[in-house]
Amino acid sequence: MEIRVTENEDYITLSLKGRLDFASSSNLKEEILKRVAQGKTRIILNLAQIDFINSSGLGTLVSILKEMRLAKGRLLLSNLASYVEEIFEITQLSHIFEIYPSEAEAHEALTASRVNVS
Amino acid sequence: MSSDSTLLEGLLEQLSSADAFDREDAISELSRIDDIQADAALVTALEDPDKGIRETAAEAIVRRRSSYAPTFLCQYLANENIGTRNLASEILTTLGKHAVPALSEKVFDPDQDVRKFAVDILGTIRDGSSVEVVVRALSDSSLNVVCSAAEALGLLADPKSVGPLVETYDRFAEARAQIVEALGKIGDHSAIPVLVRALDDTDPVVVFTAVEAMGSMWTREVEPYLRKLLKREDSALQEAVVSSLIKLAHATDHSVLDDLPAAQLQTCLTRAVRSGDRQTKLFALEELRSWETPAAVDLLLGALADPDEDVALKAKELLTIAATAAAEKISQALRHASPTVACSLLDMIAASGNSHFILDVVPLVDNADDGVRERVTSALGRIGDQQVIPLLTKLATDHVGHVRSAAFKAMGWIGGDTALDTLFAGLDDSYPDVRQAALGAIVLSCSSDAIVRLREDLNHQSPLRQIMAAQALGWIGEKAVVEPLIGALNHPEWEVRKSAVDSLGRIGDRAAIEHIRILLSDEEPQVRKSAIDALVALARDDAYRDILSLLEDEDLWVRFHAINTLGRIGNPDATAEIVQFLTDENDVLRVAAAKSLSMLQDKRALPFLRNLASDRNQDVVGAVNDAITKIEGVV
Repeated sequence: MEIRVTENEDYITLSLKGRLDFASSSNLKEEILKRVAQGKTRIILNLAQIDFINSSGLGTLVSILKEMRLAKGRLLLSNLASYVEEIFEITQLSHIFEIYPSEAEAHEALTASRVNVS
Repeated sequence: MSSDSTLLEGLLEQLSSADAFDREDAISELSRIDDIQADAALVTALEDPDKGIRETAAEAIVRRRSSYAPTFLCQYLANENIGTRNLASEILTTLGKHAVPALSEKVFDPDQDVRKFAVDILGTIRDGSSVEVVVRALSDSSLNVVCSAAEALGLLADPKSVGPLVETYDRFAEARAQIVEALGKIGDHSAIPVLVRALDDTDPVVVFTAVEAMGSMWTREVEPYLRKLLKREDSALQEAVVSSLIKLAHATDHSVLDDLPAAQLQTCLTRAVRSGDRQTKLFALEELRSWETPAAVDLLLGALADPDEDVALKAKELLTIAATAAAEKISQALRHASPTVACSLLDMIAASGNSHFILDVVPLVDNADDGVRERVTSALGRIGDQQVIPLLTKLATDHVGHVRSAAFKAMGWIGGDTALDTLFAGLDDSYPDVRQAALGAIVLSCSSDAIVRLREDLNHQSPLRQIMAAQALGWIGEKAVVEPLIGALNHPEWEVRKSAVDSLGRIGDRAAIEHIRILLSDEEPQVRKSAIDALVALARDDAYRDILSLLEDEDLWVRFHAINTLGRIGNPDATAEIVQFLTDENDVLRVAAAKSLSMLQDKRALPFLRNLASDRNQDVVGAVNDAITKIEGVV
């Protein structure tokens, strides 16, 4: 699996390509925890080019999410293919991950900070 | 619409019928006639004793938007019957800008009540063209009309009316509250001197209104005047001042509050959070965002019980951020919380992911409230580890379905296979949500034992368990599931075979190719279609010949799918096969053929496509034209 990192001012995006399974997910976790240790605790994972994910991949994402929470960070997922969305629904992970249709919407959620009082 | 005078006369007479159905028919017919008499009759029908007829007439008047109707309706502003008057007012409001000329005339009616109603409606309509006439109403002899004019100008919010309002302020003491409110709504800074004067008015209503109006001015210029009021011994006034200062803080910058003495700021915010209006509470809570003091946490905890959902939600959001600093207080609050507040705290704890709270959450496992028990399981799932699995196992047998469902979800989030027996028992639960949650947890267990048991389930006596097993194996997706899934390709249940094919296509192990090929002649069309997709995923170009064979499938939708897939694969050799479908008797297949040829972009298809330019079916014509455009664009 390829991981392309884009650093923005106050968050980073990791765009994943390929398969998220046992082998690749441990690389992903390492990559993310490295960034968290550097203080980059706002992360968007763009899964548009993930064509396969299995239970190992899911388990690692859950474990990454827990670490992010302890670091008071935020992990958002975007651009899930319909098959990947389905597996998130089946495993009820859609209830604990913040999932957005596009990277732009994930970014908007990440940067929105004040209540909009009308 | 044309009028027929005989018909019209007949309908007008029918309006006097004793039978309500006759009158209603007459209304319906009149609403289609373009004639001033019809307009007048429809307005008259607003006084009909039957409510249905009145409503029908009202709808007709609004729909027609006749130029005469507003004038007729305005006559009803003097009607003694309040219901009729209100209905006429409502219709005039709905007509909006269309009614402004007629209403403007009524601002000078001899009857002061009519003048007042006309001004009220003009304010509600909020059309800028009525500002001038409403300003003139500020000079009316009737106090009621003047007050209505002030209110209406507030709604119209035109800065041009500030001058006249200020002049009227000095002339009409009894209208000062309405004038000050209007100046606040307009928000023009030229009104500030009058607002300052209003702060010293003997009428407390005027003072309070002026304080609120200053909050809407959105300029620091008013700040000193508001701060001065904080020294008055009037707690209600101080609260009003705090509301306005907080609004100013958010509209301008936060320095409005920054240099308030800490104690006073705390008092201000405390009052605002506890007793302000919704907007004030939300602003005040935002001020607490960067505070992690015990006092701030206390305020946030208190706000969790606010009856306004948005306020409670904001407090929860901020507590989540402050969770670490506020842990001790949150733990204490949880011990004595009502079920509603406990649920909010548990949600917040779950979101924090902080395992510090486990000891506080565990005692609530046996709480009498099932909402609390559900939140407890979710919180344990998010902050717990394998050590809480026994508790979740207990909750997985709760008598309430959504608690059981939450327990299985939580076990999935924690992972591991120590509770496999419980998870598999969940697959037989009577609630579909629970079964689904148990299945998800099995998938997330990443367990080789789970794979073994799922493999056994492929031969379970329950077809539902068989199907779920095939699905779960596919979602697990590890190498170890390939063999059982290949075995499942021969399953007697077609849904199991389909699930197995779909899963093997996703997993991508080429060992499955030959087994899937056999399913191209499965008895079930859905399985054949899945086999096409799986072969394309596994074998790509090598699947070409297999898919060609399905162009003659007995099932329409399998043929359709095969045509589409050939286009997606992109092998130009398919052109010759696909063009035959351009003359198929079935529209769906002709469309599919055109779209597929468009994907192949083979110019040899052009003559065949052009022959279809005048197909009887517009969808076909559309698809053909698109294909021609795309192919010609490439050539």
